[in-house]
Parts: sequence; structure tokens; C-alpha cells
Amino acid sequence: MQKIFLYSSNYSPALQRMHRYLSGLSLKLQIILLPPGSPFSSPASLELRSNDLLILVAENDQEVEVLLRNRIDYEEFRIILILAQQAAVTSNRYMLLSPRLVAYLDHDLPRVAEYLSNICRIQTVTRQVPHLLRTSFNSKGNLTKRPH
Amino acid sequence: MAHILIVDDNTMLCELLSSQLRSADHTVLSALTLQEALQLAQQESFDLILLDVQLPDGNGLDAFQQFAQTSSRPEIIIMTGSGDAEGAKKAIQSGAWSYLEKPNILQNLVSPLTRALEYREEKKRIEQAPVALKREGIIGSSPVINSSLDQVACAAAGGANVLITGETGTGKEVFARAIHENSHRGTKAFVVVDCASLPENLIESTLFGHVKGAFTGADRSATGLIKLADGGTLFLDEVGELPERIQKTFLRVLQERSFRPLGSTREEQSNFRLLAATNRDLSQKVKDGSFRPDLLYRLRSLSLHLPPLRERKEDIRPLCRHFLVRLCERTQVSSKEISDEFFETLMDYEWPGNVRELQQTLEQVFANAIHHPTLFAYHLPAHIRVCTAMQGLTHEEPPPPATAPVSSLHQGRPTDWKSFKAEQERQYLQQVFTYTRGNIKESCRISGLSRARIYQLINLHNLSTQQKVAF
Repeated sequence: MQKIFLYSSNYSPALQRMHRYLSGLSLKLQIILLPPGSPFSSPASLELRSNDLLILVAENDQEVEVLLRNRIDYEEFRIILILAQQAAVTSNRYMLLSPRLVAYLDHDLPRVAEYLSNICRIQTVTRQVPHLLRTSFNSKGNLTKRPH
Repeated sequence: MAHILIVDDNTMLCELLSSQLRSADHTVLSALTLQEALQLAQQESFDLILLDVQLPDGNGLDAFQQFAQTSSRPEIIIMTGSGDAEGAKKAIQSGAWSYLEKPNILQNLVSPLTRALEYREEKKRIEQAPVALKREGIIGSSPVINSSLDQVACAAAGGANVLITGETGTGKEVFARAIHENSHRGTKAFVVVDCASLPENLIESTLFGHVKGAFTGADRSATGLIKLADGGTLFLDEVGELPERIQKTFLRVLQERSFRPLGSTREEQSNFRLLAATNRDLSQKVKDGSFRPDLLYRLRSLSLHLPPLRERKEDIRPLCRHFLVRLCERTQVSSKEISDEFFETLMDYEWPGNVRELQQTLEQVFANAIHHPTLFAYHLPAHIRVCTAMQGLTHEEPPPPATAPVSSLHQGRPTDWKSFKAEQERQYLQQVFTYTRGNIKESCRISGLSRARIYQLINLHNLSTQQKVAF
């Protein structure tokens, strides 16, 4: 099951709505809500691994700025940025978070669903080709089969 | 255009030189005494000083360093009425650009003046260039990583497209960020396009954007990533997965730096720098027909191939420390110690998933040992520890039989028990070290002795360093 982490600087209506939306998707996702305001000091954060999917939610420019203050902490993760509504975010500074997908809560959540669905499909395909995962390298750097 | 100071007590020469230099668009001030000149040099920011030697209040050469050390660090050309070899030598040794005789100064000045000003321009450019490469996230000092960093510096200084290749987890995105951050676009956006994860039907609108009504569901217009990368860097991650249809469109964007949002009739411009990464062999994909050769040529104006972690194992230790410090800071947990055997176990593993696998392993270990002040090999996942255990079994040939300690048993008077036992111990250790080539860990495993006991015996029997090489 694909783990997805969800975070916002506030427990805002936008965050709650996004949480509900993700929970309602019929995808094999485990959604982990990181405590708003303290993403990495909670027990839930110990489940985070580099390259994990982290969905950041911002209601407006101010919340984008709060996220930007800690942007170095997010660099290790694949960021999906959800902005509450197009009208509330006037600056492009959110791009400094280097999100892999930017979507607006008020009108293009289906894009998020498609993106996540594609990631789940890729994960499934990888799982269906187990021999790819059972490879290793010997001391000379040659590819070898890892013992079962 | 340069700001020049002439220091000479000859008013006519000052006027003559000033007039000539002004006609070449330079701004010029002159001083008739050393004191006046030094005052001006401290107040103004001169690029060049023409300095006479014999002045009413002193020798120009003696005051050379005072001029040279003013805040603008000007270039200095010495002028003299009566040239002498010693004076010329002193001037050049002090750092003067040239030593010119006044009678021919108007004819001879042009060339050294031009060179001195060109040198100064170049010096300014070098000073503006970053003195140290920003390399956050790129940890290690192995020769292969240093070579990659040199390439990062070259790539950052220029504006060419860069194709970064390497196995999965080698840090392609980290290096791409380093190129971006060290370039003049560093303060602008670093826009990532996830070519592998974006579904094909989303790639086009995500890259190029769309206008309202461009397709079903497009009830508002949206800016694409190419436009958002204007002034910054566009990073195509896993570019090998870019669908063939998009490859063709994107090639045109690369050629013209312009694009058309979906549903729009208007071309838009974007000034972005392109970086791309892949773990695929794109040349092979070109042969297979699944990747456009013209796009590949465009992408790899510069190439950077990242080494796998197994080729830079000396970086494992600093990488671990870096990740651990970051984890402790991030989770606000006090710092942890790492045992030597933890590192030794990491070194035995081949890391097929490279730096990312190492990082994820440490994250897992950290989570499991959150309350432990020291990380031991025992905290590592079983598959990594198994690797170490398996490596210990690779010596299939049995150890050579121990040399029978016959000499003291059969020849002459036997020694006392204590000396005999010590001699056997010493011989045994020599044999073990020869077999393991001085590897202490392996010696512990074979002998069943603890590391501490082995070291105790080495000291006790005064074994030479040659016998305990490669710890």
C-alpha cells in the first residue's frame, strides 16, 4: 500500500477537505496526517522516508510563506502542492517548494486523483515484476540475483 | 571607462595625459604631491594610478604599497624621468603593471594601460563568481564525487542543457539542484517535471498550461510548468519516460524557447535553463526507436554521470553522519553515537539502491532506535546484516594447518610453561593475521576472541604493525 503524507501549517478547512477527499479515493493509499504546524516532531513523522509523497496544503499566500520557511526540510520528498483556491494565491513563490504537481482545491482535484492513481499503478507494476527487486550487486559491481 | 589618478609634479604632463585619457572616455584626476595623491586615493575609487617616482614630498616607489592597499586596490603604472634598472626592478616587484620613462610616455602608455584595465575587468568578474560551490546534500570527498563536483561547477557557470545519468538513488535531483543553485538563476524557481509519475494525458497541460475551455473540465485557464520556470531552471526528472508524442512538441520548445498553451492561439516565451535526468540508457532507447535522437542531442549538451555508492564507499561514513544529524534536528531528538561495527556492516553491503537506500535505511534505523543513544549493527535491517555474515563465509579454503610447535618440545631443555604458552599465543596470532591479512574483525570471527582481547594480545606480544595491517 502506498503511503501518502498530508501536511499543512494550520488545521484549516482546506486541509480537512483534502483529507476527506484522499480518504474517499478508491486507491490503495495509506494517508498519514502529520500534525499541522509540527511536521517532523511527531511519532507519525518517523514513518517518513526520503522520496515519499508529501502533500502540502496552503489556503493563501501567507500559508505558502510559512511552508517556504521550512522548504529545506521538504526537499527530500516528492511534493504535491494543493492551493485552496486560485484567487487566494496571487504569487508564484510557491514554485520555490519545487512541487511535482500543483492543484487547486476548488477545481482540479481530479488531476490529483489521476496522478496518485498513476503512482499506485507504477507501484503495482513494480511489485508484479519481483525479479527486479531480487537483484543485487556482487563485490565487483556486477548485477547478481539476491538469494531468496 | 576607468577612473584614473595621475600623480606627477609636472603640471603640463598632467594636463597632457589627462586630455588624452579623457578622449578615451576615462575620468581623470591629478595630484602634484604624494600627500595630495594619497588623500585622493583614499577618498575616491580609482581603477588605475599613474605614479611618478620623484615627487616634491617623497619617492613614489616608497609609497607604492599605500596606494596599492587603498580600498579600490588600483592597478599602478610607474612613470619616471630618469629610468634606472634598480628602480624598474623595485616597481615590478612591488606589483606595478609597468615602468615607463616619461619622455616617451604618450606613445608607450597605450598598451600597458589597456592590458592593465582588461586585467582589472577580468579580476572583477572572477571576484563576482562564487568562491565556493554550494553543495548542500552532496556529501563526501571521494575522488569520484570530487570529479562530479568539478562538473557541477562547470555546468553552473554556463547555461547549456545538462543530462544527468546514474543508477536510481544516486542523487540526480540533488546534483541538478546544486547546478541550479550555483548558477545565476539560483534565486529563481527550480521547477521539477516528474515525467514518470505524470499520466500521459496530464503531461501536456501540466507542461504547457491551458486556456479556459481547452478541454472538458478546463473551466479556468492554468499556467504550465514551462512558463513557471521562466528565469529559472526546468528539471525533467526521468526524461526517458517522456511520451513520444510530447518529445516532439518539447523539442520545438527547446529550439525556440516558446510554446503554446493548450487551446491558445498565442505563442508564449519562457527563458528557462533545462536540466534532465534519467537512469535509462537513452542511446539504447534511441536505437529502439522509443526516444528521439534530436531530443537526446539537445538534452546532453553537457553530460554528468553519477557514480553508484558501491564505487564511493569511503563516503558512507560522512553520509551517515549527515543524515543522522539531519534526522536528529528534524525530529528534535538529541544526537546519537554510531558504533564502529555499524559502519563496518554498512561497508560490507553493496547498496543497489545507492544513497537513497542508505538514507532510507538510516531513517528506518532511527525510527526503530529513537530512544537508543548509540546505533549498533543490530539495529540495521536483517538483509544488510546477513550480507556481512555471508561475506564472512566467502573464504572457502580451510586455514593452513597450524605449525606444530615441535621445536621447544623435542630439542634441548623445555622452557617453562608460561613462556611456552606465550610463544604459542604469538604464533597463533601471527597465523590468524596472515590469513585475514590483518583484518581485526575477521580475526575476531575466526579466533572467537573479542576485539578488546585481540588488541590486548597484540600489545602483550608486541606484534609489529605490519602484522596488523588494514584494520
